Amino acid sequence: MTEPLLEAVDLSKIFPVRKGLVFKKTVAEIKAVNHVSFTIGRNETVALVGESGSGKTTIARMVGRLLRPTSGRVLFDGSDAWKLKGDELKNMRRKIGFVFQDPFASLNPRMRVRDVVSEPLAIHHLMTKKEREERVRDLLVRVGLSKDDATKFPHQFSGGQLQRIAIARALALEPSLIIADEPVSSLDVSAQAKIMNLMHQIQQDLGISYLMISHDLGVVRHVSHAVFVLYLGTIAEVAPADEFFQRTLHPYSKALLSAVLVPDPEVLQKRPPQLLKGEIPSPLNLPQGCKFNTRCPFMQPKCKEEEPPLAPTDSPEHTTACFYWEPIEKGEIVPRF
Amino acid sequence: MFSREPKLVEDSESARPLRYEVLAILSRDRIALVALLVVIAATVVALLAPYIAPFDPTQQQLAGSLKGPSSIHLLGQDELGRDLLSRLMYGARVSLLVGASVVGVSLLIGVFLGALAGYYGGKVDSAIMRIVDVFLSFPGIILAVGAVAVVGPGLENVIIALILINWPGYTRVMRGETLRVKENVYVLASRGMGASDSWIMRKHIIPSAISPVVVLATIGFGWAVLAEAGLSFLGLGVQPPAPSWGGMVSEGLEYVLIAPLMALFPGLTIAITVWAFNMLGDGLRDALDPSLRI
Repeated sequence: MTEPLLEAVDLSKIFPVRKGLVFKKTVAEIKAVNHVSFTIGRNETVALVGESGSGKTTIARMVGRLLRPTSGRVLFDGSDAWKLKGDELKNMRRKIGFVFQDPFASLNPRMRVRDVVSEPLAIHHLMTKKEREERVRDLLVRVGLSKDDATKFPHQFSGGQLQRIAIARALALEPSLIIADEPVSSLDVSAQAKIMNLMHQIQQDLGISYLMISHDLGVVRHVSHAVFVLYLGTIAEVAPADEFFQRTLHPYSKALLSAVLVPDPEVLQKRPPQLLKGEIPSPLNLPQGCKFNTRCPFMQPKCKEEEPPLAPTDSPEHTTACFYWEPIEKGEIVPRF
Repeated sequence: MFSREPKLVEDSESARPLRYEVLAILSRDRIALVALLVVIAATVVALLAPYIAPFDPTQQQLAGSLKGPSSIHLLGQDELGRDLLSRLMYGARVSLLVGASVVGVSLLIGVFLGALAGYYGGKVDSAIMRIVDVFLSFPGIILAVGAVAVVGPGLENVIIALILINWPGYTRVMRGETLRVKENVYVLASRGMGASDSWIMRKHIIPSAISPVVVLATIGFGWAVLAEAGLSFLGLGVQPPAPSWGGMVSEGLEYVLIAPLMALFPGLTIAITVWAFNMLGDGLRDALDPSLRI
């Protein structure tokens, strides 16, 4: 593996729940993210998947220095992102681009596309006005829009087009990492595919790393190099993408994968989706032991007492946080439902 | 109701800046349009008063004392024979000057402090808003009367007193809007690009949050005109013989049984002007409402 571009080390985020008008007391804690570590290599796409409430967005914001972690470190290009100041911080901001979930919200409706896309350039005082306009036109063409779109307002575009504008904005500073928080989940399926292809193409052309966050494994399947499955703020399984889609070990990953829609009724009949029962538990009151034990079809007594660590498996670079991945795979533990 | 139903903008294809859309919606609102014309007319009269007024507003013609309208004195003459029309025209200068300076300064203070309070929150917010609460807890016009009574009557003092009671309202509205606007993802996105607080405030918060404050300012203009008239009526504003609308009502009141028109004309002028500013504010509020835009 090449030298990592970004390294998240033991990241945790605890949100205090405060009550009281004048003297605010912390009455509870939401453990949104618990001791998560991962690395993103250069020119690599890392997918962070999990259902809503699993802490994906929190991780993205901590990594991008938008939300301070309660503990843990973020190393970007070898330096601690949360300790940077002044020019070094500005430099880091230039190298990290963001694409957010809802393009209707992430683009200021009062600004023309031209101003939206050139905002990062203006913030960093780069280029003259004329050069910026040139750059905006290039970027718009690169993301598949027309250069005449520069003078329009966001409300004149569809969701997919807006997301293209957001991508153009993220590319303006020639970043080395783009943090994409559910970049396609607000789009329809055909637009999703187009945007994912565009992002993949951009990676090929420009050599950019992605932290791709999604709740839909189908979305990240074809573009990611490594997959991290997140459940209630804890990593359940890590695997190289090729392997992950062949062989999942953690019961939660299996459930996630089987929930991916298959456009083929025959496959669907052979492999009926294994749907999880119930909701994700509240992070206010995490289950004892393995966090997945309340919904796991293979739950054993030990799972209620001890939390399984992220441990290596028989395959290199494939780790999972399940005590029983081996017996489950061999069919020695029968599912309860 | 009149034809005040908001009209939708049919044409959203062309890339028109927001301010043109606002004008387009405003121009379809007939009452707002009339109000706008009244406001423009009042402004023109105030600016050109020395050139278009038929007489010197302080020139006395005792022979014409309390005379009604005639072909020479269109609105009649007051107790000292001064031309009422000319006095009204010069009075417009006082009223509009008070309105513009009170609203302008209050708006600046309010937008600045409100944005600071809403954006930073915490102690900054508490400090600013507690001061605002103190000012808002006084009945406005009584505070102004008290302030002018203490520092002495006069135009400058009236303006300062009215600013004193006006800025807290703008601050509060601006703070509320800032709280709403700052939660937008585009603000977060801007921070992610490395934007400074001042950049975010200038480029995102203030442009997005200012609409309701502008509406408030339009209505506040009418209010300031009325407040100045009230203070002048009580003798705390512009001192005679300089004309002001409030002062003219006050003078006219003494002769209301002999020459009722002398109080009626300035009174009507005040009413129409304040009405125009309020209606313009109403129309602007509709025009700026983003839900009416496609």
